[in-house]
Amino acid sequence: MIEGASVLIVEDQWLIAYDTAARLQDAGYQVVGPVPSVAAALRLVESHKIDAALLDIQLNGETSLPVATALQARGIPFAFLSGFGPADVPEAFRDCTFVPKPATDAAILAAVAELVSSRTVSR
Amino acid sequence: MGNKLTAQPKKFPIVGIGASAGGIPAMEGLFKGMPDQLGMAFVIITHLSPKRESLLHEVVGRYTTMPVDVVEDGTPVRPNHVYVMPQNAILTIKNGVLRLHPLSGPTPERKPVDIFLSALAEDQGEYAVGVILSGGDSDGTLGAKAIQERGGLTVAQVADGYGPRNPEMPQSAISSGLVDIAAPAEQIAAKLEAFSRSFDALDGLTEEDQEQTAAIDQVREQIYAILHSHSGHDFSGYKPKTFLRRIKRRMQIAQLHSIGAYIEWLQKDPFEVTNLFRDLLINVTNFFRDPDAFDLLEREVIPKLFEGKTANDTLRVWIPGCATGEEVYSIGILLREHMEQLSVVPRVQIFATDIDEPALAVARAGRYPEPLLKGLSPERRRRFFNGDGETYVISSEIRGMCIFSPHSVIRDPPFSRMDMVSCRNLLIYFGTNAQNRVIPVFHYALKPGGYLFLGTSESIGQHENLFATLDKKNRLFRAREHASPFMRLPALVGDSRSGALRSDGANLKKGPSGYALRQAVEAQVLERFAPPHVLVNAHGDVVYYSARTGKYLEAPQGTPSQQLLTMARRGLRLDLRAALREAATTRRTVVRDNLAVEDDDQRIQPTRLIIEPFAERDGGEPLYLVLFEPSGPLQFHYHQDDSHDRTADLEREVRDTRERLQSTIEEYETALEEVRSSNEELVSVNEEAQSSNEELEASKEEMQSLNEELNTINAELTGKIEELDHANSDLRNLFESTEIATIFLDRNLVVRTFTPAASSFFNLRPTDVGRPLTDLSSQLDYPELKTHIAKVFETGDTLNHHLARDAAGRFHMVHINPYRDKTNSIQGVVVTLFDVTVLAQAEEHQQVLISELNHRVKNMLAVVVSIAKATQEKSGFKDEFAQALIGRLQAMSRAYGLLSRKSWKEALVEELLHLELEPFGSERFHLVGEETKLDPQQALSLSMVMHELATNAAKYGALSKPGGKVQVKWAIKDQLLNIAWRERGGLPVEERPGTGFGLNLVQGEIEYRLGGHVEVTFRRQGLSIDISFPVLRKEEL
Repeated sequence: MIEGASVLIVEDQWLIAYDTAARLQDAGYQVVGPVPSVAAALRLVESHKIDAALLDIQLNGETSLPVATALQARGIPFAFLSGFGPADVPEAFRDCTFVPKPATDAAILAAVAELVSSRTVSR
Repeated sequence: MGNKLTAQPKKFPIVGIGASAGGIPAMEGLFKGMPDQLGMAFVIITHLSPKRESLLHEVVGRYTTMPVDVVEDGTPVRPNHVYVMPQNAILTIKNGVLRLHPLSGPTPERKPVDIFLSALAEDQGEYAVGVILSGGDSDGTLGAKAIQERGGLTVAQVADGYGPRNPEMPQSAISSGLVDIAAPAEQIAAKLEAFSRSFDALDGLTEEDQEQTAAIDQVREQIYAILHSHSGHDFSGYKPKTFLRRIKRRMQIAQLHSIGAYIEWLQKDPFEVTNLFRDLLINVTNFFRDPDAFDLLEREVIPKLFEGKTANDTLRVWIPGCATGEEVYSIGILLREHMEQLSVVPRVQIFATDIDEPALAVARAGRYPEPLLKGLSPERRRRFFNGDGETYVISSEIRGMCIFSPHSVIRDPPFSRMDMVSCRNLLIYFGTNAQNRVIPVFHYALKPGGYLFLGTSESIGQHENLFATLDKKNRLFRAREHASPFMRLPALVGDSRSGALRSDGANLKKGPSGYALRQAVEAQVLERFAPPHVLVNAHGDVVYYSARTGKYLEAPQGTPSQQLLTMARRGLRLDLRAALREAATTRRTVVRDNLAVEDDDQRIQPTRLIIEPFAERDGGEPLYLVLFEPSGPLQFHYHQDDSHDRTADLEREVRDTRERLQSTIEEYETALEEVRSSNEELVSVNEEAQSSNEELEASKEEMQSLNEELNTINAELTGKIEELDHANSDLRNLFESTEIATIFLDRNLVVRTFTPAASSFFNLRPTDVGRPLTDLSSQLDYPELKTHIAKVFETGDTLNHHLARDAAGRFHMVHINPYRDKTNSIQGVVVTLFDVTVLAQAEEHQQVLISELNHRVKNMLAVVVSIAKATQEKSGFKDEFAQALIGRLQAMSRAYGLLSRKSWKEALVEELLHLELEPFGSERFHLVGEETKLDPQQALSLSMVMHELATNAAKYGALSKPGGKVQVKWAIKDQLLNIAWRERGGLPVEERPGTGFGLNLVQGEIEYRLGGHVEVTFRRQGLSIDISFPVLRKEEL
């Protein structure tokens, strides 16, 4: 694990976003966001160095899939943190990591650690 | 039949009860009066509708305490039980076990009662009892016959309080003379009880007990005498055992327990004599009874009967005593089988006669229950009978050859010019005298060389001169060609009825032995001293010769003859004839003196001729005693040829004249003979004509009843057609009104019919009915249709198939059902197309909803977890944590409640605020604002925010002090909803240290979640919070 790796959190529920961010910070990650919308997320992807991302799929009337596409394009590893499963997303995202909601802190941390280490390997 | 009753103590009477329409009240009457332990079993046979389930056993169970069971195949019959036939089956019995036979195919003329009763008779013999109750049919009549033949008891219901409502069934049995007891329903039980008791009482009667034999012989003699005096029939030749068994049966029926009482009753009641007579005459007849005899008939006789016959000839057979027709049809079958081998087929007529008219009716109908067909080979049964396995009807090719007619072989003139007479097991019922009369009658009826076929225990007796024996064992005889008839047929045209039958009675009472000695002495004296004499009838036929008549009589030339006039010697004949006639007309003694009788030696014996009417015997034919008494010494002819030429001439002339006279007389006699023959023949022909007429009458009646039946059937048919029309019209309307596309296809996929809705799928027009479906273009994208239909034909199961969405976006489902006919075989398919678009859409929508719900719930739980965690971090104590957490969760749940009431579409700000602030005391809030709608997310966030603010105020702000109030105002401006939260009253508020989780949450929900803005101001009067967020939809975010 890279010390202080930056993790983008895209989540429209403030309570969940706040909670998740707090856990990651406690674990030593640098949190980018959290942001509740696609537009905000894409802005952060453009402007920040991001090592990994946690995406909620359903965002207040839109989906985070454009964000996922942008992350894939940049080779940034990410996981969906969502009530939806692989069956609910288009073909292209079926193989992505899914952390089902409601998730335990341990599950979230394990997933992020996995993402960050894969990022390190690919470098 | 000869088994001793005591040898099988377990036997008990089985009562077959036949009933049809109106049978229930009759059975009520029958069973209500019945004691429980009668020791009999009851089997109820009814005409049940095969379609309706019968509750008969329950009904019967109400009237009796005996157990009532519905019969199953293999049920053994036990005494004091009642068995009820189930519907849809035919019941028989074998070795005391009931057997069920399933119905096979439609049999309109079913006779279940006949079938069961005949099986019962066969199985149980004299323990069989047939009870025929109310019903509208003639079912049961043949069954009753079978029971009577085997010595059982038959009972029929007559009118009383319990019906019979439909008397035809019992009436038919009664009128055919086959019923022993006719009683009202509630009295039948008592009769049955007496019947069952009498079995024990009468056991001794048929025992071969030496002591009793003598007594019983005497009893028999007495009964013979009664029968003889009553009917003229002599039953002494009847087998004693059989005879006694019949007597016993009558006693059971009459419920008399001593034979003496029975004889007394016989003497008093002529009706009982008639009944006994009838019982004795009952004949067990079977098809091809005595197979050997019939084989011989088939091999030896029948081919000869047809020999030399051309198509214009008629083969005539007479069967007297035909009873119920089995013998008739047996011979008919043999004749028909032979006819099939012939190229030239003559006409065949079988005259079948009997005195028993009910039996004739049965014979005419020609319908026999299966047990009566025992003697028939399966081939013949198939070939000559039409049947349903239980009853069989003789085929019309045999029936058409037969003419049935009531006729007494003793009283009525015989038929004539027959090729064969078959009279089996009739003569055994006749006394010797009657037999001696009947055999010549048969000879008369036959053509010369014709065949006579008798029963195995019968013979032609002393009439070897009339018949030559062909086969002694099988009683086959042939009429001699040149036999001169011993007997003239009596003048039978008039009313000279059965008197001729009486025997002289001398045999019956034998005198004491002294009397016999005197007779012998007298006979010897007579023989020594009496003049030669003969006994003749009025026609001159000799019935008795004395000794030494040779002087007066000589055997004439030609066929042997008993005719006295042809035998008389010259010189006697003229005077004999005249004297006999005089004696016959005057009934006085006639004497002729000085007759010159010329003997062989040309000597003349002067003779006195005396003819006396013979002492009259009651009813007998008048006879005459002819005595020849010599009245002088023998004289020789004169042979002096002297001068008395003239005298000689005169004498010669006289002689010539006498000769001429003699020849004239002979000519006259011949003519007379011919006239008589013609007369007899005419009488026979007349008889035959009467028979034919009788037959025609019967046929006509049959025709009438058939016509009646046809009328009824026609009316019924008309009704059915109307029903069918209705049903058709209903069906057509159903087709037209239904929106479901349905197509009926036959085995070759030809369209049989279709509903209007189907026309759009297959471009069907009404003219397409009859065309194969494969010829028609289809709008459906359903290439597997043919294979699917084939699969349904193969498996017989319904097939369902969902079609893909069609061009118009509609979904359809296809049902392919097999089309089964009455026999349940697949004759086609029914293809049904349902529009299931709405269903499919609903399914899709439901899928979306479920997925949405799933997501929401998971999200919710995630939120709840987060709230719990956050709350936990900020709370020092458990209670505080629990209270805060529960408060937050309740706030959320209230918002959810509100939203779900509005179907998750929207929520009003005012409602939301009321709901969330109410727990803190509605009176302390002042809510002002216009009607504003929120989307679900906004509503949820706002509700949590309001809960946090109110909780905060209650803890630290205006609501923590009495009199503190909160004003909430809201308004929309520039597509932003502005909400102002103002706390007033209470203590001056200072800025609270830090911002707690509550305020964080407010900011998070409003700013982060809703993209709005929160401003918190601590004023003197109290906390003041301004919230604003966009109420126009997310795309603006």
